[in-house]
Amino acid sequence: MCWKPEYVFLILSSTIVDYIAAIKIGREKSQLKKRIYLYFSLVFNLSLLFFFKYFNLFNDSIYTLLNSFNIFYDKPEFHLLLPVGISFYTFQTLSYTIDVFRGNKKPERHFGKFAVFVSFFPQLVAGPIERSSRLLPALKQKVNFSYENLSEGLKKMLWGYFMKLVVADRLAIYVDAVYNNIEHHSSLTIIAASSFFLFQIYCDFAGYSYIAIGAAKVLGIDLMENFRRPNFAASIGELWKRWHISLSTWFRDYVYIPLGGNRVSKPRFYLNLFLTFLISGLWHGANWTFVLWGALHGFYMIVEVFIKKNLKIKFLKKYNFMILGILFVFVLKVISYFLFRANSVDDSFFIFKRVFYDWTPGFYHGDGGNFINSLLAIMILTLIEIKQEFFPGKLLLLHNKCYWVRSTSFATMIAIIIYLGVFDGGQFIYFQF
Amino acid sequence: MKKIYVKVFRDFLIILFIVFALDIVFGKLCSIALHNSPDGRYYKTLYVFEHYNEDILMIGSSKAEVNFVPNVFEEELNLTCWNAGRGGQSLPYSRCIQEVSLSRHAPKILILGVNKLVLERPLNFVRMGFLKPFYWDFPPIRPFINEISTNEKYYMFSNLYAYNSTFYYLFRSYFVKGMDGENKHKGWKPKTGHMSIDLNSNYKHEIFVEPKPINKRALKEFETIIQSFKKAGTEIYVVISPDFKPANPTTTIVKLKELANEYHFELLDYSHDTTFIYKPQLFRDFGHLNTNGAYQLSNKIADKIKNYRHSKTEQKPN
Repeated sequence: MCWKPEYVFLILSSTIVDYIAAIKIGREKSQLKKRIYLYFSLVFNLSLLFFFKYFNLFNDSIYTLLNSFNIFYDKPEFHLLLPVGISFYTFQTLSYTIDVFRGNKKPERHFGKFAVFVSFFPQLVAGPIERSSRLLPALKQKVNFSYENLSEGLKKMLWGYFMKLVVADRLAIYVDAVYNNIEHHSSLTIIAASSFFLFQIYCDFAGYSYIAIGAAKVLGIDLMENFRRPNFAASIGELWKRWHISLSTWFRDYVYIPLGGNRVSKPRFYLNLFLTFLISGLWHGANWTFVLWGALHGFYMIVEVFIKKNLKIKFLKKYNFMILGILFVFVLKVISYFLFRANSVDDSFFIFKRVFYDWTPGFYHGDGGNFINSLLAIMILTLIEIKQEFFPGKLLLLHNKCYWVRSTSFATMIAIIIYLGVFDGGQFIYFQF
Repeated sequence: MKKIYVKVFRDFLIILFIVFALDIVFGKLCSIALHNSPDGRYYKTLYVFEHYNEDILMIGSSKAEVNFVPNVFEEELNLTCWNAGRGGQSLPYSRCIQEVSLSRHAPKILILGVNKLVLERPLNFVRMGFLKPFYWDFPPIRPFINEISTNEKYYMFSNLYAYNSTFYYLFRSYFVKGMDGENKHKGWKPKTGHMSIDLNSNYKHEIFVEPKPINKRALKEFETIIQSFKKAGTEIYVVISPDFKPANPTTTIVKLKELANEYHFELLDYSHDTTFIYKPQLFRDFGHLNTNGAYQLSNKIADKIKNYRHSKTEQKPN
């Protein structure tokens, strides 16, 4: 992931191509010609994405495969750096062109406004992936500087910074220490690191989203909610309604439904589900670990849908086994992170073997202070999220009616971030996707 | 619109004021806790910065803190001793100790514990974060802390930042004694138990370490330590502790031999000492000796120093 000045031509070319393609689609009466413009836009954008993000993955994989059959392949070498935000703005512009093609959206004629839609700085590098139907009208509205927007935006940003600096970057220290020397660690250590990673990636990504949403709010623009406390999901289906909502709904609207959704035969329906998750996995990064992660979630989803359709689980609903469901989803997510966080497919196989087959005793906690701080960060996050999830409107601090409670809470939150935050941490994980 | 700007400015000032107030109160509380630490890492650092006046000073990273037993040296050499080694630290920390302690007291003997890769690895200033609470009280450490990040010198005006994430180590010593070694151990952190290894496995093989070029900055800092103590009239012994598995001679070890000749210090290399290597009963983990191993190594070093000092005395003309 990098930001090189010449890469601005990538986003500029995407913007120009989609701007023109959408206008042409809007003008054309012939369905065939509309389709040609749409396909041109799709091929152009996806080619850029493929070349800069996936070329080396497929190139290396072909080389390895042919090599295993003793077939010589003169591998072309491109030292490509992943342009920052390419996955996000490509999907954002793709949805716009498809919406225009479907007739759900009129083409935007103001190039400047459209360019801002593609490159709106708060959410450019890691989402939320906005829809043109939401963001373009918002960009056209005249916005006055408002105290309420500023206050609400800064509160969201503050929460985002807490998630990133206090939770995600703290947990990263332990997770990286374990995952970067995975073969030396015990089974329990790997489980602990993977559980930490669950909170790390959530807070890293949701933290960025809150900062982006907050920054946009300060400017008077409402971006869509991207996370809704996914750790309280009691089923896999619910998880995907709470996790990276902008991407999940994108895949639902532009991949799953066009594939036929659930209005097809049962086997095809399951295949649609699986393919959607498989592609979603590939979207996350140019590594087979992400593809396998997507496949595993597809498998989870199919099993869940199958059970719901075929087994009588009403008794579960009757006794409200929500906590059991939350724990079960937690475990399934941790298992899926054996794939997602592993540095390579070999590493992830090693992890599965160590955890499920070759149990190795012992526990590594690294630096005691860091481990305790990690647990504390998770505890604070969980308590706040329990309050948000189960007691909304109660025990309000940042939104308290009393001015002094609000101000003191805001200042205390800043103090907590300064005291517990990690300021030498890395970049946001999702910047690489 | 003007009203909004006034309101925003008012809120900004109020929040800033509360943050400052929290910063001052919290900083004061942490400072009290630090200066009254009954033992532990802050007590040990404060001791070497403010009070130490021993004849022998030991500095280095965890290998120094864990492997060198001051009481053994005191008995063998009949000199007082303090171990100022600190786990997780490297040359920048030793430089800080050198800068602060030498300004107050010059020891007769310096035992500098080094890692076999110390001159090759990049210097990690981030780990120096542990010394942030001492920033304002001990000016010589400021240039090192300032290297943690570009704006570190400005961040240090905040007590919350200076004490960032310290609560565990700051308050632990009030509840659990001796986690970093008891005070009677004089800075030594004993490690009990021994490493577990499958004795039937093929574990007796030398580790190959890829030779790397010398890090110029690390070399400069190392030379400064040596030169400063030499100038203060301190005898210097540089010790390479044993690991469970030996390794090929690294670029660092080769360079240290050159430096020993150049600066006239004694280099004691135990990296291939058969008393220790492949002896799990003497190690707590692959890189650190347990109590038993630490006593044995300390006795060996103390004997060597005794012999050197004895032979030097004999060489002196009457």
